[in-house]
Amino acid sequence: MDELLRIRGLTVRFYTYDGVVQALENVDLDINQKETFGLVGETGCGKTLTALSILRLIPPPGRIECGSICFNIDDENEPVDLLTISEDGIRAIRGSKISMVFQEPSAALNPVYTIGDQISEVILLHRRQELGQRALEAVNALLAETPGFISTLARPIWLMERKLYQQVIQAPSSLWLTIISRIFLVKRLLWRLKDEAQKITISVLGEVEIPDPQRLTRQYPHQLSGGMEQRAVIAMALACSPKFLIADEPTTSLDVTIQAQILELLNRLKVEWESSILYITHDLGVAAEICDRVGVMYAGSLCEIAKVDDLYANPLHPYTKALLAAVPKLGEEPHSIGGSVPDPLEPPPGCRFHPRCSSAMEKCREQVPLMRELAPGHFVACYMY
Amino acid sequence: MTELRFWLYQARKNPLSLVGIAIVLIFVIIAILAPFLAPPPEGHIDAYQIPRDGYSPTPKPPSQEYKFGTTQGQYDIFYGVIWGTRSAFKVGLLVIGMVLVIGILLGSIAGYFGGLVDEIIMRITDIFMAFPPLILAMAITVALGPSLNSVIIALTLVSWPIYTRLIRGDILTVREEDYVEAARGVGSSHLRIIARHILPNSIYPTLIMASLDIGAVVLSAAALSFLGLGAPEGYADWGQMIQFSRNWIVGPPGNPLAYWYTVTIPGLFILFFVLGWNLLGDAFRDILDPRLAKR
Amino acid sequence: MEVLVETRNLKTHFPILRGMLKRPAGAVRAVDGINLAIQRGQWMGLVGESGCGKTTLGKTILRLLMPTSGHIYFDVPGEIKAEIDLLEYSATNPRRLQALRQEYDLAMNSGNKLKAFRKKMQLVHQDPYTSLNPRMKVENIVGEPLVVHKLLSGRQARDRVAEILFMVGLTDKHMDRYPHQLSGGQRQRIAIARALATNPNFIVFDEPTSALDVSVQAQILNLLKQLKREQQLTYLYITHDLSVAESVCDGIVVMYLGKVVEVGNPVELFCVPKHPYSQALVLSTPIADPQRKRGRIVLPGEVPSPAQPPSGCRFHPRCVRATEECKQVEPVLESVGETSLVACWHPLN
Ligand SMILES: Nc1ncnc2c1ncn2[C@@H]1O[C@H](COP(=O)(O)OP(=O)(O)OP(=O)(O)O)[C@@H](O)[C@H]1O
Ligand SMILES: Nc1ncnc2c1ncn2[C@@H]1O[C@H](COP(=O)(O)OP(=O)(O)OP(=O)(O)O)[C@@H](O)[C@H]1O
Ligand code: SF4
Ligand SMILES: [Mg+2]
Ligand SMILES: [Mg+2]
Repeated sequence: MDELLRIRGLTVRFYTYDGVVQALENVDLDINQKETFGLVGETGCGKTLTALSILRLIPPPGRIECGSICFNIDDENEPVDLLTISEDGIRAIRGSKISMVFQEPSAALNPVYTIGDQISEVILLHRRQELGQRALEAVNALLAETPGFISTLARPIWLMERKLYQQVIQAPSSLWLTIISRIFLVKRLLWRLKDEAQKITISVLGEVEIPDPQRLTRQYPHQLSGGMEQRAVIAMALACSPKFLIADEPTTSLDVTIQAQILELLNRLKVEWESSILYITHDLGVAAEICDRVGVMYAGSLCEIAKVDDLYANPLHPYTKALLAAVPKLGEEPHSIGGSVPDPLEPPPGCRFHPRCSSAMEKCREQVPLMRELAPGHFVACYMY
Repeated sequence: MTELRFWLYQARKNPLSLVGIAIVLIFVIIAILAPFLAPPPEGHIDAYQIPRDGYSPTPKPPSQEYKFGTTQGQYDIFYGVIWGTRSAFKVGLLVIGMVLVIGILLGSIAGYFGGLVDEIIMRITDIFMAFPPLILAMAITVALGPSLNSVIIALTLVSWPIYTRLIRGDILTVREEDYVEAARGVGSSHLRIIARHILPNSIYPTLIMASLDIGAVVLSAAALSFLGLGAPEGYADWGQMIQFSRNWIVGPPGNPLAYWYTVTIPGLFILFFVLGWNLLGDAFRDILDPRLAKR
Repeated sequence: MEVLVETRNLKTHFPILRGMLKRPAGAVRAVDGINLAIQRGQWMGLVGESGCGKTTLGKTILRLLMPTSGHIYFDVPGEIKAEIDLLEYSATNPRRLQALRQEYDLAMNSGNKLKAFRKKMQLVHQDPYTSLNPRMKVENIVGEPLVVHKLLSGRQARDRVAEILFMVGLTDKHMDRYPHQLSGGQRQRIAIARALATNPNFIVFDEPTSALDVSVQAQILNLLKQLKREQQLTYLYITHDLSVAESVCDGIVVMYLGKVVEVGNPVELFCVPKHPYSQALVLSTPIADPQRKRGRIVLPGEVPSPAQPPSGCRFHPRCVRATEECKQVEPVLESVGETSLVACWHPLN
């Protein structure tokens, strides 16, 4: 299997007036092509920060201290390190190659624009060349097919449009196009780009199983239910057919029946679009349903990574075991883990789980255990093995 | 402990707030020490009455005896501004205090109970707010007869609707909070819910505004005094001292700055007083702003 | 078994106000005719999707909301209940019925009588981050019911608070803290402690663990179990998570759009659901076991607005078994088998 993303030694700290928050510590993670990788863990363990680091969106006072995130943009090129490429480079990747779906759908949508406008805008931003191509084809078709009187009148305009769209295809971000698109009336000549973007929007909304996508493009976010909003957000994330979709608890605010719909949808899209998903959740049930591999996080580090069947059938790390035992099951007393998550300002030395671990040894209190591969594809960071 | 650290942190981030605190503190000290800084002359009945040295209309420049000189009518400027600080605090604190009491009372009733009571109170505030505030204050002072107390009453009457509305709005948002409902579920009385649960969580924006407003109130009072609607002649009051200097802002031809002290000194006192409260209000806002709330 | 709480045809509608004059234009029928009986000592689960009226029902039973119509009987002695039943049935002596209701029907009480009831029934909110007054210390939060009902004061109150804190697994060193100095799980414990302060016998939990992590959720559930045993409590446990309800409750009520669609015991409901909606709910609930990816039924569509519920069976637009009858006539809750009640024309199994 090919690797899509390789995170090594990712460390993120927040410099607050209370002290240094050690939010992520030496995170190592691989995500393969065409797989759904689940990242599970309790509140505050750093799942969202891992995702934000990939997009380099850590808010201040946070800083990525060290590490690398290598991303395979496509098969021809060498992988790039997302943490070192230029600001422009990462901006081009955000939204087009990697996109993100957040937990609160309403936070991702601007309440004053219609759904259609918002999705088209993403497409206009990242898929200009393709839009230009489609617009050019439309103009060419007009030039070739429209006969007689109308044609003679409109011909000069169409020829001008053709020229512009050729420009768009060749150099979509050239200065002269930027100027044109600012000039009153003249910018109207580029209207076909918007038109094509709208068409793509409708088809993408159809992809996410929204009934009557035509109508939805004209609606505002507040007119939609939570489930519909989340679909629209997913559509927006998928608008540029990204290779990698980060879904940060996309169904947490939704009902189970709606959650089932969305999970089904994501599963289908992953197969159809051949993309990978990083699925962040705190619900072990959801992770079991849709992930191929799962990583368990605790207090800023990963403690276990395994194939989904392995992990649930044969959890190795004491934290994973405890977490699985805490999930309520029919007729079984849920087992709770004693103690609470450590303060990220003063994490315990050694293995961060040792104060709550029943099999902690002397070594666990002093040294940080490293990730080791115990069985093929099953990684654990624990001194017991 | 963390609370204090947070405050200090905020204060350090915005050194101007420290300046504000310092200015207000200095004024407080001046007001407290007024009898020592500018002791009333022997046999003086009312300490607030500025002692005068004759009746000559022409101001006299600072001298050994009158540190800031004398203004029109030979009133001692130094004495006036020092005792005027007390008047300023009196006006500012009394007006804001009364406005807060009225605002909290009516605002709580309107916001908490809603319905018809709310409707009535709000319409009354509308009536008051329909007039330009300074004009309304002037009309009220004239009607009550010019005096410092009329100014205080007038400014109170002009400002309470704003506060009532502000408090009502804040209470409306807090009213629906879960902990308020929990208090109801426990069986707490309305009074207890308002006093223990709603007000402590909704009053801060109002208090911030109040501290910002103390300066503004003193400024308005000075304006009324300047128009001759405030304190009786000779009463230690900054607005009146500015009024005295009205004819002396520009000196005789050839020496336009001859009487600078008549207007500049009371003017500076007003300026720093207002500035001090504004900076202090900003400091409060920095500290109490929910958006800056600590995690 | 003795019934502790009973609702009769309970309705809570929220008027929708329109226009300048705030004229009512229809109503959100959040709770629309609910008959529910909770036995003393039962841990009754109430499940359903968002917006189906679970919270509204819970709060109406506690009289934090005023019911539009219907009756709530809380801890009414058996013979009086029997008399009310008889009078209701025979309609012979309306005045006596009215008098009895005035006395015992919680829906008609107010003022001091209601305050006396509040001592015996409590609510624990969903979000421990909003249900505690951020400017009060833990001691005062937990002690508030004692003060309000003038039960204890001063030193004694403080001792009692310490005792309750100990019961919910905290210590008296938490007494002088403010809520923001505590974790989510600790806050929820405080909220539970406040509910326990007056020794109630009935507590409504409104999704008490949905804002918490699984490991903390397990702690809280174990705590509730222990408290229930020690204090002889009766719970109405609202949740949208079927797996939680099934692991802890001994009776489950499934709600859909303001109506009860199924009542049963957890094992039966989970293994052989009778109502098509319960079945969909069971099958959509993710289970932490990849081996058991069940034949998921993905329900089409969404929950309709409770302001305009569909005619007939409210579930019919999303139901695969719906027939013409379902669209026209509303099914009533009827017993099926020994322990279940179902409101459906074509129940499964
Ligand atoms: N702006 C910030 N300032 C200080 N610390 C922060 C900030 N943002 C995040 N953190 C810290 O980083 C840690 C990880 O946060 P993160 O949002 O990644 O958690 P999460 O796993 O996504 O949790 P959740 O399940 O609640 O979404 C938290 O413990 C928090 O203390
Ligand atoms: N105060 C109110 N005014 C108007 N409508 C309300 C009010 N409270 C609730 N509703 C409406 O009543 C319906 C039921 O709400 P309720 O909060 O009881 O649902 P719920 O089952 O508790 O949902 P959730 O799982 O989201 O908590 C919803 O449609 C809601 O919009
Ligand atoms: S009554 Fe009809 S529509 Fe309603 S749940 Fe039963 S089968 Fe479905
Ligand atoms: Mg997160
Ligand atoms: Mg609810």
